[in-house]
Amino acid sequence: MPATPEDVHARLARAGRDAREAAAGFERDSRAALTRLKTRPIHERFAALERGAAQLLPEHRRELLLSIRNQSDEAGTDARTGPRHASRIAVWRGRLPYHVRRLTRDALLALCLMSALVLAYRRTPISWVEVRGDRDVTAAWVMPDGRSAGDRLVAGRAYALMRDADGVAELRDWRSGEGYAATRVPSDWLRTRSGPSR
Amino acid sequence: MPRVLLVAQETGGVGKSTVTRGLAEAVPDAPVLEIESVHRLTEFKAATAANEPGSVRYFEMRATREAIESSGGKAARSELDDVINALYEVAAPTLVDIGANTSASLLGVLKDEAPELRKAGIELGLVVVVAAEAGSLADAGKLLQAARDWTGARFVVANGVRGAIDLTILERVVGDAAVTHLRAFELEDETRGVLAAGQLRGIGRLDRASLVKQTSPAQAGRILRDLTAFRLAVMEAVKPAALWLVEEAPIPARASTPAGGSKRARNT
Repeated sequence: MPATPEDVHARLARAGRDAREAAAGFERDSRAALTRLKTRPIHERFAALERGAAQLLPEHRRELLLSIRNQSDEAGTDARTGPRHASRIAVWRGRLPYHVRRLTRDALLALCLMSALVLAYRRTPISWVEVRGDRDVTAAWVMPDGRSAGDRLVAGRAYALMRDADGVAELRDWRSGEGYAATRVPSDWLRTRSGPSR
Repeated sequence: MPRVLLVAQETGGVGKSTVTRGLAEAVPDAPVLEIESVHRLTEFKAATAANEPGSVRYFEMRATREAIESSGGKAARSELDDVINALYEVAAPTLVDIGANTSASLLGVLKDEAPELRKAGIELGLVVVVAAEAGSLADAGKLLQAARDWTGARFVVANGVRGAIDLTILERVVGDAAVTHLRAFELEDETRGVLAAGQLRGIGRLDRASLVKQTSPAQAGRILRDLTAFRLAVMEAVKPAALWLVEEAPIPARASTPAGGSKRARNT
């Protein structure tokens, strides 16, 4: 029986179906290969691409390449030190050479201030005291240069108590035109009074 | 009234045999007459009798180009007697694959024989294959012009195998012939090997399992996809010619109408 146009159309339709099925089959194979490759380490994926990855459709080759690129970017981000702000200490250290003079001046000023405070603290009496009882007691007054400046504590007179430790009290007494004279006496000889004058 | 499609091109390597094979895929029962210096259509069964469905009768052309030219074509004509005789025996839609360097000679002979063949109830059509080479385009113009008056329909398959064809030149060359295009296919070596083994006829019989054995699982799917796409593209390119081949030929009274209107109508 001779062929008809319907036969030709049918043959073409069959060829079209074959081509579509083959393309769909290859797409499935390619997708499966891509899924397999994406679970492999980067170097294996890269090797597959170097060999041409002919089992993959072009779009799947691109997807594989992107998977390598994305993972490389992530690894790179982890490995690299990201841009950060310098710490305040680093900034301060970096600027140090440019501030040496100011800092030296500030340090000296601070040192002077601290020394003055310590000196003031040490030279400030703890309290005012007088001899317990109404009779003078013996005490060796000494000037800062070592000279003797008297031999007694006068009863009823106020003395500045500078220090009181281990039962020994250190007293100071102003001598006009000479400075402070100092002496040490047992603490139990003394008693506190409210001020230099009653 | 059986129709005969002549597949012709003087220039070699433009895909003429591929077009013949595409026609044979679209009309598998059509007998094929192969007129070539080398038997190429080896995937078909050899004909044991005239009009045997799906078979190939091979007519070897021994005349060289130089012999044809020095004898004014007589050297080839003497070899074409068997072909002309075979055409008179045609009783079913038939394909004629004419080898390079033979097309012009055969068409020259058929110009004289066509009226007699028509009286015998045989209508001739022509498929010319062209590629980007200027030689094939020039030859196509000559062949189409030579066959204009005695062919019932003319078709041109523009094959992109040699690159893009200049459409302006193509339009000028083809005249009223129906033009179809076959895009170029970049086939891998393995795919070419499978194609060479079975040609288009073998593609329809391919299956993935056998391809996996021949190649590899990774390649099999790709080869099958590329070859089925190639086969479909060739069949689409020859579809108008294949449909003309199997159409009911007009009654002799209409067949004797002057060339022009009815042919143009069929070519659109």
